Amino acid sequence: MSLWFKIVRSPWFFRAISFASILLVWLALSSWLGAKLMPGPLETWTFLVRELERGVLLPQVGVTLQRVLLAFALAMGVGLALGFWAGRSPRFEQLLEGWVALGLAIPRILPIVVAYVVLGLNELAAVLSVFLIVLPTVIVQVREGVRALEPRLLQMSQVFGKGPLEVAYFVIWPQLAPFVWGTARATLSLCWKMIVFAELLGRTSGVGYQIAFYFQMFEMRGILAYGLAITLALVLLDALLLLGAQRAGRWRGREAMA
Amino acid sequence: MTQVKLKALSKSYVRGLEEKPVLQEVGFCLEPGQFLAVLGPSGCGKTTLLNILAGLEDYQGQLELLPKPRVGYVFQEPRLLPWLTLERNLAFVLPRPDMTRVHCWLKRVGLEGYGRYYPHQVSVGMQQRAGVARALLIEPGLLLLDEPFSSLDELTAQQMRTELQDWLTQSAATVILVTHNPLEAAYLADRVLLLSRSPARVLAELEVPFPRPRSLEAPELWRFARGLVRRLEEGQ
Repeated sequence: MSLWFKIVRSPWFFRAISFASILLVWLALSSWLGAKLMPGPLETWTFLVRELERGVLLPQVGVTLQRVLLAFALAMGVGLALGFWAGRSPRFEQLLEGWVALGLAIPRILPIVVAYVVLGLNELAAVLSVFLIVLPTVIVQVREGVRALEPRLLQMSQVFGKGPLEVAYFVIWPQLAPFVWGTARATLSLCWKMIVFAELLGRTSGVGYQIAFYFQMFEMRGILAYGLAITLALVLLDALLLLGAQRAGRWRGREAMA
Repeated sequence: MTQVKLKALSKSYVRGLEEKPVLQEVGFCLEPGQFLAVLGPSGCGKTTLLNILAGLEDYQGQLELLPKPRVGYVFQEPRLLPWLTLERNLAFVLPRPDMTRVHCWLKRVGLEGYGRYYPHQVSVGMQQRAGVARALLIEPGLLLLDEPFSSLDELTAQQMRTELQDWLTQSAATVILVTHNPLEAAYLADRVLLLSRSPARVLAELEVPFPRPRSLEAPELWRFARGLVRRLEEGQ
């Protein structure tokens, strides 16, 4: 097999094409609209490195990440518990139904604005509102995972006298894990988008604030550089979650291939 | 070994406003170490009866298991955990992991060398053998077999019936086998309980009058099985 054939057959080849096409579109837009309106990848990267050298970029990205992870951890923790309970108890699910429907239907910007008005422009309002925005999604996803648990395997464990901890670890978690990892990825993605938005509306630090700042200065390099920085940071975090998701779903893949 | 006493045991399922009786005043007494086959038409409530004995479902009436047994259950389908290897599936049911015992049972059921395979990597027959090994591994006082060979081809099923007899000689369990195969009941059991169509009630309880080991080719065994079918048909 020739080297060229090997490269073309590799899944990385198509991934590389996908990323290269983004750069190409960006370059095309930049040359069409002009560097002032749409700076190219190189100019954006240079600006990003300058911000890094000035010691501004990392603290701002760090603050945003801190908020994202806090809202994410809260949403996953509470959402897992409520989703699990809703999946096991129809009565609790009925009790939760109105809140979940409201949470899913409400415009996502609304809790942020309401929290800023009620609690003031502070950390609590930003994190709490984003937590409330993503919570219904986590509950629904986890509830569906719990509903999909195989009751016959639970019966088997019960017959053989297995305790709740063993059942949770050996029987429930392997079935639930692909749902939880998938939910974690979706939640993280939603959290960072909402946190950046909350920062843009009412905080004086973080990537969202920096974007708002450079928007007022009409400095597109700054807007794109901070957007790129947080995107790269979250792509890395998502890659970690993806590894977990792939590991958790390995047995399903093995079964499907059989 | 466990004594099993059932008296006027009934069970109904409630769907909406409707109550559907499944078992109607079923009763029998099984001495420790005995092998009972429960024979009845499909859907008559045989599996429900086993689930009640396994503590999976509630019921009305009296049920005594003396002394309280460790229950081994071989389900209609293997019910192995697909994310665990065969050996880890077996070890899962032990209170403490004992791989020597696990491998010993894998060898007994003809799965030596397959311990590290995942369930999907072996045939359904082999999975069912692992299911039997899992139930016997815990040295059950009460062994419940729910049509354990119904998902297998006849050749494999025949082989496993013969082997089950051998495996059970090494076990002191009281055994209840649910089946709709009269020959299987006559071949394996000490006694046969005939159940009617749903809601199931006891039609008859018969001793199997043949010494062990039995042969599946013996004409009297076939005659006895035909007799079971006749009685089932007459009782419906």
